[in-house]
Amino acid sequence: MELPATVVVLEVEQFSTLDTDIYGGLALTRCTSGFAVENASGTKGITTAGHCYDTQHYDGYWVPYEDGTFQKSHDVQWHTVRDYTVKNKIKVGSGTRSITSTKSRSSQAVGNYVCKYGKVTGYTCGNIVDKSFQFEDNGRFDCDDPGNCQWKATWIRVHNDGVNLSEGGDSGGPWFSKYTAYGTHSRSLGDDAFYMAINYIDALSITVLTE
Amino acid sequence: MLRHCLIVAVCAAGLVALVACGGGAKPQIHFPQHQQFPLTNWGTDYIFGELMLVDGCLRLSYVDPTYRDSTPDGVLIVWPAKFRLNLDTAPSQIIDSDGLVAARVGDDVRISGDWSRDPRPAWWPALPTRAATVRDEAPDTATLAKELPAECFGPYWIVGDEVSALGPDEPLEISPPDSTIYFPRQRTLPGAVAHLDAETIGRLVLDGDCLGLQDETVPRPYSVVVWPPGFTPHIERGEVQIRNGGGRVIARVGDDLVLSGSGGPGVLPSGDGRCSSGYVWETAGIENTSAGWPD
Repeated sequence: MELPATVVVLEVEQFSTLDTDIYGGLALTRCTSGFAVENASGTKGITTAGHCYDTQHYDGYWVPYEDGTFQKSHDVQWHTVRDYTVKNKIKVGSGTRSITSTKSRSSQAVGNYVCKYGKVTGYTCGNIVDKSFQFEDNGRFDCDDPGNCQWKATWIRVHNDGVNLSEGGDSGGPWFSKYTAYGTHSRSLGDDAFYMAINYIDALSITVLTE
Repeated sequence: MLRHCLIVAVCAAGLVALVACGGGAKPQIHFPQHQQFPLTNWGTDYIFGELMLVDGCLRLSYVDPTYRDSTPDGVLIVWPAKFRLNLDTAPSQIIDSDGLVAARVGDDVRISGDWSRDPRPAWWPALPTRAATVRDEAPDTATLAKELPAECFGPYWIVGDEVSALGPDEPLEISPPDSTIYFPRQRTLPGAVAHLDAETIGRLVLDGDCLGLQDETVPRPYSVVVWPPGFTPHIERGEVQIRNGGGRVIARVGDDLVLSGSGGPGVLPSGDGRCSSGYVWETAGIENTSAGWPD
């Protein structure tokens, strides 16, 4: 084929590629991604909060819902991804950070300094002031068995004087310290924030990717 | 969430000290007031409890489980400047700016507004923190505390646009007068109520009797909205309005809204099968993004 003389041919080593990684702290359509996870068969995905809509997209692409729970000590769901590579990272400001370990609720303590990333309020930090908070039952519409919908006293509350730690849209976002996963964001009370301890993702038979 | 509250303790006017009136002296009742424009309740900005008189201070019963030992007597209420206290009745009455009885001592009352800086008073133990803890940046609280006697200690709640006494049977499903619009709303809960932080974004629509939010990411025509406690529907000149418990218009059908809270597949257990879109959204806070609305 002969090209017109006005066409200039540039040679490149390869075509450019999109950033195809997916990880925690990213903006889903209506919530924030939490941590990279995998199930027993090695299928990987990302978490968000269980009270978010099951239908979520990332960057315009649907992330299929796999499983979720929103009761007692739990507020988590997870999604597989089709066109992205799942990485054990979280967004922290303009950069990212690797997650290399997890810390269960029993190992977290009042006074611990923890941080979160949410798509609305971004990167905020505070101290754990309570690790046994119990929410009031509000007679939820989706509760078939009232006895099964009582919240347990396992929720972790974070406070920082004068700092609004979270807002609507941050749900599901990662709570962490350095390279350790602590939990996923759930609620706000005034300026304080509440998260589910990371060990409760066990209910979905998934584990956090740490490498 | 935290808003800076410019509090002016109008103790000269607000300190009600009733003295002998043909008999023995009545007890001194402190009635602190603020002069800021009452904050709007966008859904989450309220507390609920029993209005109590403790050591001459008007308080609302409130327990924060995290700080249980520090809130044995609830929170001290700071009233709008045009409110007044009527001690000539038993129980005493809170009179609003229109001269109407807003509440009585002993009532269960939902009060909108916000904390004065922080629900924790300054004398609570400092937290072990790496972040800077600046406690002198709250002149509002400091001023107020200085003017009030020691018995009227904080934390303080700055009253916003609603003071509503609630009976034991708060209606959870209502309709506007002469209308069959279905308007489910949440129960008012006492104490420290935490709000879920998912969101839905879309346009408020009216489909027959059903108010719903059209979120293009949801695989249904709309989610049926369960509104915050005290919110009400109104029809004015053919326009369907949503007002908060203080009567302020928060949204109109056709407005673009961002609702925080939680949602998903589900059908409300009541409502006679009406409005069964298959998706329900329980609203915590509301942001109205339509043009012409203030921030």
